[in-house]
Amino acid sequence: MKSSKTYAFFKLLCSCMLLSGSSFALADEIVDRDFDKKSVEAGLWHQSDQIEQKLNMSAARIKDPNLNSYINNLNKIIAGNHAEHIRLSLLKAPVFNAGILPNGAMFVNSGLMLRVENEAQLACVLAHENAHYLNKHSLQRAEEASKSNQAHAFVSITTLGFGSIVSAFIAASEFSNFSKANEKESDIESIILMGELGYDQTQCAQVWANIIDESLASSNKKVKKRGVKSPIFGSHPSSPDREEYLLEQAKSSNAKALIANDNVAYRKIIRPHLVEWLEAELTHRDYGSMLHLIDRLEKLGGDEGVLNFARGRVYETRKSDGDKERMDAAYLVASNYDDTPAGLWRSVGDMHARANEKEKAIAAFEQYLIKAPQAPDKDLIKFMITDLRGTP
Amino acid sequence: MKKIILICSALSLSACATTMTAAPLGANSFNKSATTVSLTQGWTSVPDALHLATGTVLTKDGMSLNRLHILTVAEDKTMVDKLDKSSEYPIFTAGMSKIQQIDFVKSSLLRTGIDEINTANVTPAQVSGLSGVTFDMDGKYSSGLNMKGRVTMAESSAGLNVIAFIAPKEYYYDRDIGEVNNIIETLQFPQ
Repeated sequence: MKSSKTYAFFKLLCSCMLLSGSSFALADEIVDRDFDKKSVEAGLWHQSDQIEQKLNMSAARIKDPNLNSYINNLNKIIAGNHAEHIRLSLLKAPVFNAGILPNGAMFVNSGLMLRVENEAQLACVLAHENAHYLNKHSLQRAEEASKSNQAHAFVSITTLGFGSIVSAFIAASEFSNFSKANEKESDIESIILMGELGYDQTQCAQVWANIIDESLASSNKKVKKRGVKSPIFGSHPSSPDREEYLLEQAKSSNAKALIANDNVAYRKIIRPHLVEWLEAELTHRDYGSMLHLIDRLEKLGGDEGVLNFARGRVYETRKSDGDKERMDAAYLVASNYDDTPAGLWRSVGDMHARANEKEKAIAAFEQYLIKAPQAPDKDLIKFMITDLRGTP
Repeated sequence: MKKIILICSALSLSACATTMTAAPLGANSFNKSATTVSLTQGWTSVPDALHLATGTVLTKDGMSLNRLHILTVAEDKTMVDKLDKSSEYPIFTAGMSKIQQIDFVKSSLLRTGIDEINTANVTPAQVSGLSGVTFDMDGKYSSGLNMKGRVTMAESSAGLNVIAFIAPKEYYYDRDIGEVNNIIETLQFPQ
């Protein structure tokens, strides 16, 4: 999406960079809200409060108490003595992103939770966001912009009820415009914190390595073109640069990784949401990126039914040459696993019905109704079964 | 540009460059889709610049309170305007199964200010002599307000013909759904 005046204020508000670090010694200054009401800072807080309120009402809020508890507790460890000022929420948004507003409202997207492989990688991201908050990067940027008359024509998208506030948040995060020096400094500070907490510091670089690979696999020309930069943050240091200096920092560090990179444990935490989050990824229609992601998740192990079903859904939606055969193959593999969602059988039934393979279609639809007897489309499926039986 | 027009229109309620026009009572033909319906109560046609969907959008009290989409999506076309040219949007393909059509409409409506859609009561339907499907929706607008909706659609040689009613779950949906059902009874999709 193009940058526009419409999102100018979001540029100033959303410190949505990944892997920026900070000096955590600044914590004591953050909570003071007794500022001049006409100041830029007051304006930032006010707007932040409004955005937070809108996002909290959004249908995109993930309410799973277990997932919220896990990530909030992790952030408390990372945030240390300023944790009480951070309000972390999870959003079902198929974009690799997290952000923090100047008032301490932090959001983590499902697209990010889906893509990080373990707790260390997630901790990197959270440390980065905490660092931006503590360094008041948003305020610095806002004050700079204010001086240069760039902070103008803010149109409150939230108050218009126009479009998706989550989409606006996501889109705006594209235009977070902190300096590369700020970003690098923050990256380094968060990796130092990771070491202090006992996490494997190389995982910060791994996050970027994964993002680079996925961007290069993207079907979206714009994303692919920006593949050597962050897919989300146009003015950030390039992804390869970040991977490089983060890896360098990790290798030169004396900190020992005391916490194992337990990919299995992390997957267990997000498993209840895998089907839904993968389906949400389809809305982007970035088939290259999604297939790459599925392949990577598969290599980490587990959830073969869910992942092959998701793979089939990509081919089913993309409909390129040869995709029907690929879809068939993916669904066939998925059907052998217990974790396969009921929707597989509906998709398989639909596929056979379109190919006029009536018996196979009926069998698949019946299997769907067995696995999902209260499915919202059960009447349609029953009709389709009757119709298939009835037509010669 | 369209986004800026939409924003300006919402900000400046009286100074819009586009105007709403009343849809006459009785039979109405919506040229974009050649769908005809009969209206017994006052609906207003929303100008194209003020909504994200293709086709016609009618409202009684404003789009956030009730909206009735009437459209035909031709082959290889989208149901919503492509604001982000770099992204792919759901596209209608002739011969899609009903399951795929539902997925298409749902994916498209999620790009019109709605953040969550759950379907229910998906049932086959005969509309204008065409084999179609009708289903209910519930979910949330992007503002967080709960919404309900009903969709009736059927494919013809003209494309995928759709009529979709969406309103807040509180008060407005229940108030207007009876009338919407009456409108659907009079519906003639292009063949």
